[in-house]
Amino acid sequence: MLLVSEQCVGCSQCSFVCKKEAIEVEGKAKILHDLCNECKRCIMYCPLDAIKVVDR
Amino acid sequence: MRAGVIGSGIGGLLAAGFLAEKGYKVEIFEKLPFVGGRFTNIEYKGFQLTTGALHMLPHGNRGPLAMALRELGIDVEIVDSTPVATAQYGGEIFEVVTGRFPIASILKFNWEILRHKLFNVERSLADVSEKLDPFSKAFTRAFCGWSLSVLPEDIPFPKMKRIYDSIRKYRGPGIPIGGCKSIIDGLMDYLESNEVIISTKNPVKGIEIRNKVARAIFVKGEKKEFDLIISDIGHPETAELTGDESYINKVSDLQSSGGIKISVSVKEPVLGHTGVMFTLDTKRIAGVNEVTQADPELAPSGRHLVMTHQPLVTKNIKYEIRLGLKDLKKIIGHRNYEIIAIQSYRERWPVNRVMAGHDIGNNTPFENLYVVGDGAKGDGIEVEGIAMGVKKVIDEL
Ligand SMILES: Cc1cc2nc3c(=O)[nH]c(=O)nc-3n(C[C@H](O)[C@H](O)[C@H](O)COP(=O)(O)OP(=O)(O)OC[C@H]3O[C@@H](n4cnc5c(N)ncnc54)[C@H](O)[C@@H]3O)c2cc1C
Ligand code: SF4
Ligand code: SF4
Repeated sequence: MLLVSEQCVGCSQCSFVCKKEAIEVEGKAKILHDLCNECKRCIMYCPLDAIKVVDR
Repeated sequence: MRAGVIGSGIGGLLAAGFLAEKGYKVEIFEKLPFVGGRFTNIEYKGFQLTTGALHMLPHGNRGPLAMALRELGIDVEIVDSTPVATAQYGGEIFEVVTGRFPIASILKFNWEILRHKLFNVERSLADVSEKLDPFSKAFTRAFCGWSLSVLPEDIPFPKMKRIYDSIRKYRGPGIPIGGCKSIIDGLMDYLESNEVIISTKNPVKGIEIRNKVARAIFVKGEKKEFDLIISDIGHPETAELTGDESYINKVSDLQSSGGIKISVSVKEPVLGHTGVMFTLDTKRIAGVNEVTQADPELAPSGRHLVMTHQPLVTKNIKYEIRLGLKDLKKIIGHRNYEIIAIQSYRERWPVNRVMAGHDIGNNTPFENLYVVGDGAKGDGIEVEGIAMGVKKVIDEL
């Protein structure tokens, strides 16, 4: 599962590259876990390393 | 001579270009999967949005960045804004020309400049604008919010004077055809044809300092030696990479400035021109542009891309966004619109790595390590200041 840390500033870069429309951003990114397939593309594009993979 | 560049933002790329021109063997390291940092396009829903900037060069074709690109023989088409600016004030929209400002306010402003020259009185811009008529006061606030992402309270008056001088010298803004990315692409072509090596997804993990000299960069478990190191990531992060306590302490107070950009799609134009519309009837949004007036390809056909900018006033981002969205409704009026993206910027991915007026320059405690980019851009505005900073470093070498 992906979690967004406190470091997120809300720049939206992750949501632009997500092919599943699984990220909503308004001030801070929020992952819609039902849609996310854990491709990890968003993690690479985050300038702040704010998205982390955690075990369920 | 070998030069290593940390970060591929516009500052890093421009510095690399001039170093290559001087005959340096240059290598650039970028942490993200793409180059251009906060000054490049990112496509979303058919719109050319950006990673940061509002697709504008503060001084258009005449400015320091355009001049630097021409010097390197990089050809980018820039549409100079006409009119430079309009203002939405008291429900009306009109062109911003000198005649709009009451003579009494212009005289007061000039008197304050003189007073500063003669007596060196230290004041913020707000202290001065407080004494002006309501329009001039509201305009000052919108201008600072749009071009510096700060409030008049946070900016020293002399700094504003220098910005005012540079606008008189270089004039108003322009929009590059193709948006920010066309400038990045132009720089990349130049760098590639000059054998500059660029790697993405390759964060720099440390800078080795020996006997007060920066010697090497650590990347992916590898150590790379250089004669010169240029950092495009601001002083605090550069200091951390060196691990040098006194450098870290020296720059720990530097504050960045934050802001919020809302990208909106409309059918019916909101501005109808290539300049800026300063919004004076709003709580947060300082200005708006409509870049599709210069380049329709920045949006799907039949659509305009409108971008708003507001400085961050409180730390409560959700609250600031809510106020921005309310302002947006007021600005757009009766037209139908769709919000494409809300992007906020602060801390380590800010609007400016150093708040206007608090810059400490390009030098570091190590003579062959320099900082470029908006973490060290002197008195210029945005990418114009970045270009001026890069030139300064190159001249010093
Ligand atoms: C909302 C907004 C609107 C703006 N509007 C405008 C505008 O219209 N006109 C204008 O001129 N300016 C504008 N600006 C400002 C402009 O975008 C920035 O000043 C400029 O892009 C900064 O460039 P830079 O090279 O200093 O830094 P950056 O673009 O941040 O580049 C730094 C690069 O370094 C990389 N990096 C970080 N750490 C490391 C590491 N350890 N190793 C390797 N690489 C690393 C980053 O990933 C990044 O790519 C705006 C900014 C924002 C946020
Ligand atoms: S992991 Fe992939 S699918 Fe999931 S949110 Fe990130 S980009 Fe989208
Ligand atoms: S890219 Fe990173 S900082 Fe930007 S919104 Fe997504 S998680 Fe937050």
